[in-house]
Amino acid sequence: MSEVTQLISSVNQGDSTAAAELLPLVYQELRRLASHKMAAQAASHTLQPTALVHEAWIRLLGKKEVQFTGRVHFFAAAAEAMRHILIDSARRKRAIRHGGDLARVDIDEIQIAVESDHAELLAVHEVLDKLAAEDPQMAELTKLRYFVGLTFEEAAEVLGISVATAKRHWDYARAWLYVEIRSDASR
Amino acid sequence: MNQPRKPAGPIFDGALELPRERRAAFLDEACAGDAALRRRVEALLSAHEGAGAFMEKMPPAPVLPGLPATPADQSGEQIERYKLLQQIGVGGCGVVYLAEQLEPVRRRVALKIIKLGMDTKEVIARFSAERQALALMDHPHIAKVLDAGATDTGRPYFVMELVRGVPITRYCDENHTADSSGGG
Repeated sequence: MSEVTQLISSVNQGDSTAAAELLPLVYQELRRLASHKMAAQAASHTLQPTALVHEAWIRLLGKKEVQFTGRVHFFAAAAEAMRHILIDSARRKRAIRHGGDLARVDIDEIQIAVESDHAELLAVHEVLDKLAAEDPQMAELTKLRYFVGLTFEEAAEVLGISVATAKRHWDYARAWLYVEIRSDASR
Repeated sequence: MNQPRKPAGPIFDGALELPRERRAAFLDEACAGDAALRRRVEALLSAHEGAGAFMEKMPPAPVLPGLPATPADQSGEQIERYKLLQQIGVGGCGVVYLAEQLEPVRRRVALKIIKLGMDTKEVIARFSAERQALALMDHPHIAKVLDAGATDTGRPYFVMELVRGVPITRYCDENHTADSSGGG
């Protein structure tokens, strides 16, 4: 039994320290996979979070087929890890664009679009913990959809809810976050 | 104070299932005089309508620290009859290598190849236009295009005469030209 499998079964039995140990393991694996891919492909836009998470799953759990049912702990850790990776990256990009590295400024439509995507990502990140406090499952769904790119069907399976519920949750979470971000901005 | 006592979620869900014209009556009943709750649900509903593309797309793919911003060095590899010796320059969409042509003559050349991952249709078109423009030029101060092709995986490249020199920014610095910033 792999370390991750053991941790997941401990989390299932209510061991909360196991959950804390699972996250860095998954994070490390995602980082490792991502940097490996980056070195091989050299283009950031070819990195697919969904593919990375699936690959991490196979590497850590040694299973070729990813069955989503009951995988909530692994995917929760993966989504949280992906969130950190994305946020770090967006912050660094923003720092670079705001004068950290004067040598590289490409201003064209693509860059502007990316800039606003970074802004959205950072804003969502800031208010997501508040949503988690109000409704953990909705926040979890948001992370699986937004940070990992799971489909409604996949996310529903991970969370053990119906696809219709997942869609309803998503509508609510998205509206909730939007309201929260707008009120943050006007404060 | 004025915090809604009932959760907004189920009312929001219920309202969304109704056609717009029936929502007000539904909210009247569901919120039952709780003004704060009603405001909350209305704010969420209007966010739902007005959020546009918010979160519809995944965030930009991550860029990780500690990795070279430049693509993997392919020095040592061979592309058709050119052996890549050393990376000598990186541009927006291409990488330039010092290369050795193996046949029909042996000579050193500069080989510019589109960056891995940049080989989208649009970039390839721009790359081809550059190649074409250079090929049409005939001037002692412009490097000649000697050859062009594509790798097995379809990445276009072209081969230019190798010109030794210093980068234009350094030339400007060293020769005290008025604008040494490179126009940036």
